Formats: sequence, structure tokens, C-alpha cells
Amino acid sequence: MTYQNPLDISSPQIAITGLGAIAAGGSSAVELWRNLAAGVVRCGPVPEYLFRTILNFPVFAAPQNCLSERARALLAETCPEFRAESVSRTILLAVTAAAEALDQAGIGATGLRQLRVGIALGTTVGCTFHNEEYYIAWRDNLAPDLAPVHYYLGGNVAAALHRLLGTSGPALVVTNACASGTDAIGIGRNWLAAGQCDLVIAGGADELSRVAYNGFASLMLADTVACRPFSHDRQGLNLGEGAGVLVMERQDSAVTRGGKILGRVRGYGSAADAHHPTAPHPEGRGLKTALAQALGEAGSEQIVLVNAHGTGTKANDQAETAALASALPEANAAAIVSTKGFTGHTLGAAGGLEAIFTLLALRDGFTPGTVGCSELDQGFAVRPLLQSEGRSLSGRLGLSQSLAFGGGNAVLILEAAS
Amino acid sequence: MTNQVAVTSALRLTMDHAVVPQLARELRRADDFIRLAVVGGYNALAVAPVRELAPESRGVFIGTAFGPLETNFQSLGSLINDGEGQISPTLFSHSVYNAAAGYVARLLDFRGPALTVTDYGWPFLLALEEARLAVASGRVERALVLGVEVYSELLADAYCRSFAGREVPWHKGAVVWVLDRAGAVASRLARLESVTVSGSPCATGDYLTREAERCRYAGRELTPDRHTLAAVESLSDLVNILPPGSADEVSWECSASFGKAVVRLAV
Repeated sequence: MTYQNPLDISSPQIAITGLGAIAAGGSSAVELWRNLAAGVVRCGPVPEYLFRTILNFPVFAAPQNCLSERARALLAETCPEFRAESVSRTILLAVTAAAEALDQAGIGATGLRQLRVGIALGTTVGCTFHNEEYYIAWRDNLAPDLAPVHYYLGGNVAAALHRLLGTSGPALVVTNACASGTDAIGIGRNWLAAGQCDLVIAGGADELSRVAYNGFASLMLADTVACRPFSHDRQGLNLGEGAGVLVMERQDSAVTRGGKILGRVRGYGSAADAHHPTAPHPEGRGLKTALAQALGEAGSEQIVLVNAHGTGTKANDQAETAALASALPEANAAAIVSTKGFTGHTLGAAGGLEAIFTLLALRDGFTPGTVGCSELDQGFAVRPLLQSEGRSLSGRLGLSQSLAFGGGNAVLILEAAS
Repeated sequence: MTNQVAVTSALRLTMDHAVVPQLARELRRADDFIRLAVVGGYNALAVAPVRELAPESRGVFIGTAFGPLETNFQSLGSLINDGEGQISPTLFSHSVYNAAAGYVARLLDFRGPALTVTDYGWPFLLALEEARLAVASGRVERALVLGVEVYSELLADAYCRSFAGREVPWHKGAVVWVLDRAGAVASRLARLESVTVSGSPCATGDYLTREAERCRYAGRELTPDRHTLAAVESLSDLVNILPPGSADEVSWECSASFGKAVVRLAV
């Protein structure tokens, strides 16, 4: 399957000028990248500040206080009446990541107010109503106080960020399950290409929830020890939480205002498996289509790094490697890694975090291996890197891909600035 | 952005729409959210022009405010009643917002993008704009755009208690459009020129009451029914009655305390 660059949607160069992140491994993109390279793994029992459980599936939890000082300082200017307890943990994670990304982009409160700002964020847990106390009281006809309902109605993470940052422009929450963050970045790219806004804050954010934790347990997709993506003995995923956010602008605008270009979004593809409600197509049918779309936009330059979805479930890792072998001509030469052994599966945040790791690896010319993988599954058609096999990278183009419940697939091709 | 985008089907439906036999078996475990999406998509495509297209060139775009909220609560109930690790796998997988897009993609064989977006204001219009961009850019040839709402009993109780026992104004339903690249098909409906949605901070209860919501078209003002799909239901009706050649461009506007939306059509 060959795709032409679809008209002019990717013609304007879309620059990345800011990165921000928070997850179990660190409270900023800088800290996360340092700890990923060092192989620091913060996987453990569910902390009591999140929820209590009798199950023994470990998670990757972000710090209890997940609103950074940088985010507090920004909010003090943009929303002085802000109270952390008035918004969800998902929103706090998103604000922390956004504040770091905006800071790196050199855009403060005043700058934000002067721009048309698009906000596209992916989430899964962040859009649902999971207040158990309210639900139980309602079910028992106790007419509980309605505050949790209003909290839920105020919880749209993109609208909340506009409100908190004092910005205006397009807003969208993508709920494409585990591909949400990747699709949100692709959508933000499209908005900029179409001239719908001046600057985009895009990525994903998700908090750990008891329902999702139990849901993955009941689907028998969770591992009882730290996950081992691509390993011969992999038994499933570990859930995680966090946020990963990019600031993007048209390159000409970024250059004009003196912003530093960190990289570019060179391609985006999104396609459905149309196969099964929860399992991926065994040969990665939709992923192959998404890869072909994204590669068609990016041109002929070689991909040197693949940040795979790599959850550590049997079906995902098999489908994903099959699709890469089929749809990526340089699959055998590229460094293929998963970073979920470092972050856990952060669901709607995963695409944002992994796009950041992709760009930072390309920038540094080095990728760590796959955390948690010490012996590969020999049945794969391509060979991902073991944890011990960090590799130097000799090119500037990499891809980050996500596969989702429901059969969604999304691919970004990213270029590090030279 | 060079392709013009034609609306080739626009309809609204409720749970009363029959499920055709060829879908009934596949939908036997589906919740109402999924059922409305699949049945709505099937019916909208049935009246759209026939096109021989690769499945990869067809995309699904769903916008929803509340998603599969009832199934979400059933999952929660299963966790509370049955204990940890015992949530029904089917309930849990159907409580994920994009489950409906996955069903539509699989049962109607759409293998391009399958996007689900959520917003409490005008989620259908947000999905419509993403679909329009996809067709205009050539990323897809045909887009199936759905606004689906099923609400929940918990939400209905909250509404009634918040607003002095008023009757719940909503119903389970869907608005479904098909967009095609103009020129590839003959359409008796309008071309979709642009969709602009801008949000405004508001009291959270406004998303339920929608009291200040007003629609305007050609100097006329309409107060839609007070539920999430009402305004876009009226827009769908408008698209179906616009006489070809009646005007160069039609602007449909909707305003509410939570924002403003403008849809520009050419007929």
C-alpha cells in the first residue's frame, strides 16, 4: 500500500518548540529522560493516595503532589482563583506538563493571551465519572450532594486548560483509548497546517483509576510484576499515569518570534483495524495503514528509531512487530524500543510521553534499550532492542506509534532539529 | 486544503430505529451507545450515494458529551457488587469511549481513521470539523460523522434534583452525516465550507440545562430543545430542506453560555 502526501496538509512545516511531561519516573521531561537513560524503574503497589486494592498488579504512579511549582506559578498569573482540589488529577497532570512545555517554548501568560491557542489532549480515565461514593449513595436513593456531578461536568481537560490558562481557540479531547495522545498531536498538527490557530498544546494526560485497574485485571492483560515488553516471557502490562505535552507552532511563526525549534512533526497516520473490540488485528492491519499514511507524508528519509507501543501483552507486541516488518522498509535497521517498562501504560497519556522520548532520543543521538526486556521473543519478525542494548542513532527521523482498544492505530513521524 | 466537501446524507435517529437483521447478531452484546452509532451509520450510508471505495479511504468521526455513561456506571456497579478483578470484560471494554467507533469500523468496514472526541458543548460539530478537514485534505474520501448521546439515570436524577423537579429534556439519539469529496459524487445537499466552535467558561450546570442556547439562520432565531443534540438536529433538518441554488452561502450560528458555533454551508 502506497500513500501519496495528501495535498498540502503537511506542507507548512510544523515545529515543536516545547516539551513537558510528568510520570512515575519524574516530574519533568528533563528528569524523565535522565531516569529513562539510567534505567530507573518506579513500579510498585498502588499507593494509598490513589486507591486501595487487594489485587497485586503493580503500577507506575506519579507523585502524590503532581502539580509542579512551575505550573503553580503560571496559574498564579493566568487564573489567580485556581484551587487544586477543584479539578481532577488528570487536569493537574496536564497542567504540569503544559507549564513545562510552555516555559521551554518561551511563552508566558502574556504571550498566551495574544495568541489563538489550540488545545488537543487525549485521555481515557479523565473523561469518565468514577466517583464511587456518589454512585453508591445515588443507587441507594440517598440523594447525595451534587458536587461530584458538577466536578465531572467541569472535567473536560481541554476546556479546563483553556479556562486555567486564560486562552481561547480550538479545544478537543480525544478519547481513542490508548492511541488518544498520538491522535491528539496529529490533530494539533492538522489545525496548524489549516491555519486554525497560532499555537497548539497537544498530547495526553491520564490518572490511575480503580475501575481501569480492575478492568485490565478482569481482561487478564495485567502483569503481577514489572512488565517486560517484547520479552519471551511477557505476561501483560502495568498501568501507569502521567502527562506528555508538546507545544507546536508553524515553523515560520516560531522563527519570527525567536522560538527555539526542537523538532518537527513530519508525518501522521491514523487507521482502524476493523477487526475486534479489544484485540489488535494479528498482523497489525490498521497499523500498517497508519504507518503507510505517515511515511507517505514524511518522504524518503530513513527512520532510525521506532518508539513502539510495546505494552508487554502477547497480542500487542506480536501484531506490532508484524506490522513494522511489513510496512517499514528499514525495520531491521531501525532501533525499535518500548518505553512502557519505564512509564507503565499511561493510556491516554502514552502517545504524548512517547513522542517526547522519541524526540529526545533523536536529539541526543542515542536511545536506551527496552526497559524490562532481557530476552526477546524469537517469534517476532523484527528485533527490538534489549534493555542492555542502548544504541547510537545516526539519523534525525523517528516514529512513535500507538495501538488502542477498539482497533485504533496512530503513528507520528518526528524529526529532531539539527 | 483544496477539496470541497459535500454533505451527502444527514439524518437523526432515536432508539426506535430498527436494527437490520444482518447487524442484529453482531449487536447482541452491544449497549445503546454502540447500537445507536452502528444503526445510525448504517442508515445514513443507505441513503448516501453509492461509491466503490477502498475501506482505508473511509473514516469514522464520533462526537459525544457523555459517551457510554450508563455502561460506565454498570462497570462501576460490577466492581462494587462483584468485587475486585471481577468487572465483566464486556462491560469494561464497552465503557471505553471509542468502543462505538470500533464497532462501526468493523461492522461497516471503515478502515481509515476512527476518531472519538468528547466535549460538553457541541461534540458533533467538533467531530464534523475533524471529518471535514480529513476529506478536504484528501486523507479520506468519505467520512461518517456521528453525534451520539445516551445519557444515564444518574445524570437524569442529578438534572431533576438540580432544577426543581423539571422533566428530563433529553432522549437517547444520534445525528449522523456522511461527507464526501465534492465532485466525486452528485449530492442534493449542501457543501460544508467550515465549522468553527469556540468555547467559553460557564457554570457547569449550563451543559445540562442549555437554557441560553439559541440558533440563527437567515435572520430567523430558533430555541432548540434543551439537550446536547437538539441544535445539531435542527441543523440536520436545515441541511435537508435547503433548496439547491437558494443562496450562495448559508451561515448557521448557535450561541450559548458555553460558547459559539458557526457552520457555513454552500448550496
